[in-house]
Amino acid sequence: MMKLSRWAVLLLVVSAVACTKSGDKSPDTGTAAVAAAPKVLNLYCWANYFSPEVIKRFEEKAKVKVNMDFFSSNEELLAKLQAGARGYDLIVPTAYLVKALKELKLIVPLGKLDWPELQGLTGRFRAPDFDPTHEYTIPYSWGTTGIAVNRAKVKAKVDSMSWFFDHPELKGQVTMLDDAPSVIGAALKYLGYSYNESGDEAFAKVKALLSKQKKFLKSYTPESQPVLESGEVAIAQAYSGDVLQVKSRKNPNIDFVLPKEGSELFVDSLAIPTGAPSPALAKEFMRFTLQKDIAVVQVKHLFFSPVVEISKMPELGALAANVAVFPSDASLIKFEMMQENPDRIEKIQRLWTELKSM
Amino acid sequence: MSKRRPVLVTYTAFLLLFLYFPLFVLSVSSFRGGPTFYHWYQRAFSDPQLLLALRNSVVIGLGTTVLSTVLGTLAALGMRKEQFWGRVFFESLLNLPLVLPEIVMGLAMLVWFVFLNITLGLFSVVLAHTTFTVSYVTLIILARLKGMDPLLEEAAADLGATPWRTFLRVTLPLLLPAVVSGALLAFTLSFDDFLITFFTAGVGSDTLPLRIYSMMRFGVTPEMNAISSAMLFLTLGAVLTVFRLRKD
Amino acid sequence: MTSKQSRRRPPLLILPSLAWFIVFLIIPIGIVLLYSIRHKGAYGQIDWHLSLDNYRRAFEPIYLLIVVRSLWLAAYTTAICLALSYPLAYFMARSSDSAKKILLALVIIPFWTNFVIRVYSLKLVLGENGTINTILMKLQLITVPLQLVDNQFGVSIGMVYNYLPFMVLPMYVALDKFDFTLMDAAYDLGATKTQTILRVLLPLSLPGIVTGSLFVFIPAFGEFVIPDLLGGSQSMYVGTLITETFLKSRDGPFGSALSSFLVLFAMGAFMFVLSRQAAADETQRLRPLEGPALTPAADAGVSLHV
Repeated sequence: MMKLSRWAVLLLVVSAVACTKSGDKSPDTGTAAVAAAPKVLNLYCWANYFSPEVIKRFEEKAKVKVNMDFFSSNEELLAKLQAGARGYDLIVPTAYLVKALKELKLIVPLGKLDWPELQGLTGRFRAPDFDPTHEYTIPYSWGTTGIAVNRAKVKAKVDSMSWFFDHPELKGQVTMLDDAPSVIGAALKYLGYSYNESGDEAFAKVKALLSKQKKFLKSYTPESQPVLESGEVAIAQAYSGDVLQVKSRKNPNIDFVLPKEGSELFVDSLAIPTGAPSPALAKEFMRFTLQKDIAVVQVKHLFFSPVVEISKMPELGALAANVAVFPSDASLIKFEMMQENPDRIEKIQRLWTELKSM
Repeated sequence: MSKRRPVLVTYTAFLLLFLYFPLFVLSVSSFRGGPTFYHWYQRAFSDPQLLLALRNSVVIGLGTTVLSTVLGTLAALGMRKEQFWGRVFFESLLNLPLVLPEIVMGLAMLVWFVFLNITLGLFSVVLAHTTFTVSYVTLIILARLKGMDPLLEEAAADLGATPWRTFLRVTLPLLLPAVVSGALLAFTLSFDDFLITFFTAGVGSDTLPLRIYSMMRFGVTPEMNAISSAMLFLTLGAVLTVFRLRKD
Repeated sequence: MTSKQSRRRPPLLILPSLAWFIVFLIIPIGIVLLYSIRHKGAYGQIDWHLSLDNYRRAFEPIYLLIVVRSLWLAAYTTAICLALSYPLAYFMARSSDSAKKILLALVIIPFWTNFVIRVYSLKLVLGENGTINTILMKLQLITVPLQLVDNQFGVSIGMVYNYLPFMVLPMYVALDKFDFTLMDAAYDLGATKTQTILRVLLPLSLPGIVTGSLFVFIPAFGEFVIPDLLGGSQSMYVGTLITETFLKSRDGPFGSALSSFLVLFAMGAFMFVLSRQAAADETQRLRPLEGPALTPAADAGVSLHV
């Protein structure tokens, strides 16, 4: 029995220490905020997405506490909301998900927005395809899927996705994203089709191309950054922001290149889910993100492109000239946004399953 | 009295080395890359979100362990009765959580919780975790109970002990290694769970695995490495301390 | 206590767990089964008209291939874990009381680090610029780094590494109650070490082996994160298929159907194993034991002290 009490004491000590370590009192039962407690804004977003500076400034300005919970894919977000999870005030869906969220009544209309900040949106985002009147969403940031080049291993000029598909000498040195739409989309663009193509003939060609590629691929990776950081690969498919984060903070040898065949342009937006406890606060946050100084802070944090016109702002410094963050309209001509298409999803998954079963 | 078994001792040492080596390599890197060797530890322990996640994981783990150990021990003891109506059904039920893919269980539980109007939070996670850990606990205790001779308990009863006393003084001590193993396993499973937790956690009840998985795009950050290494050192230190204490 | 009625009555002790399972397991499973006979709606809702299409679909060759791949992964992981764990569990069972506890703790503690971190640490050691390659290159034993990850080797290491305690614990628990004096008795009676292990130790530690194997095989069958992170995500396993069906295809019904199959198959395996074990237990119970009694040496008649 003595042994038992020793272990019990141990357990108690460990748990006591663990409990006292966190000093703050965050809501952990999801019940509505008590009137006396400070107001809370519950964000549901990607990890490390909002700059801590941005959050801090909002907390000071609106006198609230911001709580962040994380998801790591749009599909997880959808599944959780669809199954009935409530309690979040603001979510960050990528543009293609908005249609599904609308149809399933998982997000609420924003109502009339008299915000002068909306004038600060760049041309592309004044009336984006997925929500032209900002009925449900406010765009937040955008980026492109492109080619990450490890200059320590590849000295030649890189501007095309042929580096993904046509350089067998790089066997074991190329990675693609572990994401069916991205990989299949890249193949489609390389073959000259639209990113949103869904024809059988196109898919057959894509399958052939990707099966060939698989043989000299190192891996499909969900971890873009570590792969680039370690310098193990020569060429990788990656998102613009990820590459630049690695370049500026971990491995300066990595460059980001926009493929000349075009690729995906993705937009993340902010929306308010149904049943949000503090929708007014959420709207306040949305408005806050449209401020130019906030957009600058955000760009410097994540290196994804801003939706607000800030390219001339001095605080940006050298970033203003960075073509990955501020690509010219000309270089983006062949870039497309992903469209939500339920039939296509099925085909993509099918192809992906077959590809991974080889 | 103890036989020298050099082969087995060496083997065990190597196996443990295999288990700990990668973690140590990782821990070493948690001291590097910053201005001071404790830089990442400092940052990790001053990150309220990360600490909250750790706290949630521990609280959920302990709650789950207590619940599932109690339920599991009772169930295992009940299963000693060789034949009863519904035995096969119950035994199959026990094995079900082992088989069910986590995503199915997670989603189904979420739907069910929402229907029952259970507020999502730490509590809902404990409920979900208990459901799949109970099986492991029960099965481990059963593995020990099978073939365990009832003679000792019968002897105690013959000598006048009440059933409760028999349980406390005879059965439980005999079962203790299995109960402890089951509890340890339950805690491990709960502490490390991702998918089920993802669906049943509420606002502000992110656990450590949720945090870590959501950051996978960035790999393992130095802060995470620091927290993980800290836990490793803490638990190892605790074990060695107890070991030292026992020696006296 | 001896009436046939009470002998067949379910023991009260299982009631708490039973109740728990009914509320938190059976009903959610019911939901899953309910979904599996529907179709998915355009955006992933449930289209409420009945159909068995999903079950039919599950038999397509491509899905069967995935099942076979997962079975293979689970099988060799279980085999390797079994081989590695048995000596360890044996050693633990024969150690002194305090050593037992220390060893138990030592085996479990690595698994309180997070799973992703464990996998990542393996990558750190096995990677191209990892510890092993660095050491081997420094010692000039190799000139080109070994490919230890993003392939089947990495996956195997990862699987065994992560599933070891699931095998060790049940085996230790079963071996711990084993009366080792039986082995000494066998030696006394002239058996060789091999014979003793094969004819005495292994058969009597079978419950532990079976439990451990189930604890590894079943979850390993549904494993997909390790093959993804350590195998370069190049192959699809049952777990990946089901998760992606739910999340990416947003096809809850089909995913539910696949899961139902999984469940039915595994339950079938369980029932088979369990019924055979029950039969073996029955024959043990009804036939008087041959050889030394399995009760503590205090039992009259057999003195096995060394």
